[in-house]
Amino acid sequence: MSSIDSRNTQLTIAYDKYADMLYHLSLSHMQNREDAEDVVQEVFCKYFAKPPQFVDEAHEKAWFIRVTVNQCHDHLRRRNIRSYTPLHEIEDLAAQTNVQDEEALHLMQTLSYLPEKFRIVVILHYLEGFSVEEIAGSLRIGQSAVKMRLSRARKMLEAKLTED
Amino acid sequence: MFEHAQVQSYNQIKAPAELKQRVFDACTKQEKVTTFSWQKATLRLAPLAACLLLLISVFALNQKDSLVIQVENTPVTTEYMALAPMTQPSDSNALVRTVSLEYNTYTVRLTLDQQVEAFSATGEISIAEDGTLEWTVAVPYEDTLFELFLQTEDESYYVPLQYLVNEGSFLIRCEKQ
Repeated sequence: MSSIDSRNTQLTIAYDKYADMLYHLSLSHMQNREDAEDVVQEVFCKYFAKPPQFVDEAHEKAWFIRVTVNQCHDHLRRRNIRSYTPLHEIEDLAAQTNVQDEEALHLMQTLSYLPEKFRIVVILHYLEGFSVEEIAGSLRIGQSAVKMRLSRARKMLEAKLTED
Repeated sequence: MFEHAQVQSYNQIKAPAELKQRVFDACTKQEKVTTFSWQKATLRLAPLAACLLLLISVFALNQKDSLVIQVENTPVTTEYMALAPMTQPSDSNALVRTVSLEYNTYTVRLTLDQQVEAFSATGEISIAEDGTLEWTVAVPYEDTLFELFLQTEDESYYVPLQYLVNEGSFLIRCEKQ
């Protein structure tokens, strides 16, 4: 197999494995489908341009998450972070995000009330199934910081649900 | 925290089918690469960290005067001063360059006209071959204060580097202790 075929195969495997997860993360950050797709594309282009040497699958997952979050931050900085509309204020959310399932839309809207740094740990832990240790490694923060953010996020969401 | 049905619904969200081909086309053609590039020679030598190089020129008026740190010929005073924003690599006239690879770091290069007896900092400090100090910090996800302490023969200096996440920018100041 030629080198390019090998890289294409590697990209295919990585895409099939991580694209949906990265799309979830990007959508929650970027709040719209187009930017989320751009971020996912950029992440895989980085991977394809220079595939890192991963120690294990956990390392690989952490790399993809970290690069995705960084790309989202870069996009938001370039776009002016204050110019986007939070999901819970968007009228036609299904069209904006191309998410048709009502339950999923409601969940995304609920998550959009959380500050970004809380939202990401909630998504990774409760929706993507990452452990506290894995999240800490991916985001390069302490485990206690992860636990604190999860705890505060829970309280915020409980308060929001009570309000509703 | 969430009901099983909610989690299941969430996991039904899939990346659009057409995105896969778009990603493959972009990757193989490298049409859309958002990696910011530093000069290639530097990139080859640099670690996989993202670097933001900022030249800070330091001039002392005389041996007895305070150390003066300058950024683009503007003195850094005791009041916080915003540093130049990260720019695209195509902006060749920009003082700063960004490289975004595995993760983002920010490197401040200080050129000192006095010998530094000691220093300590949050982040990493290295001394380049020409005697300049390179101070590297990881770009964080929240407002963060990084600190550098310099000790010349006669005086001590405190250089805080403040990162503001909402602005995505760094501020710097300097004060004699």
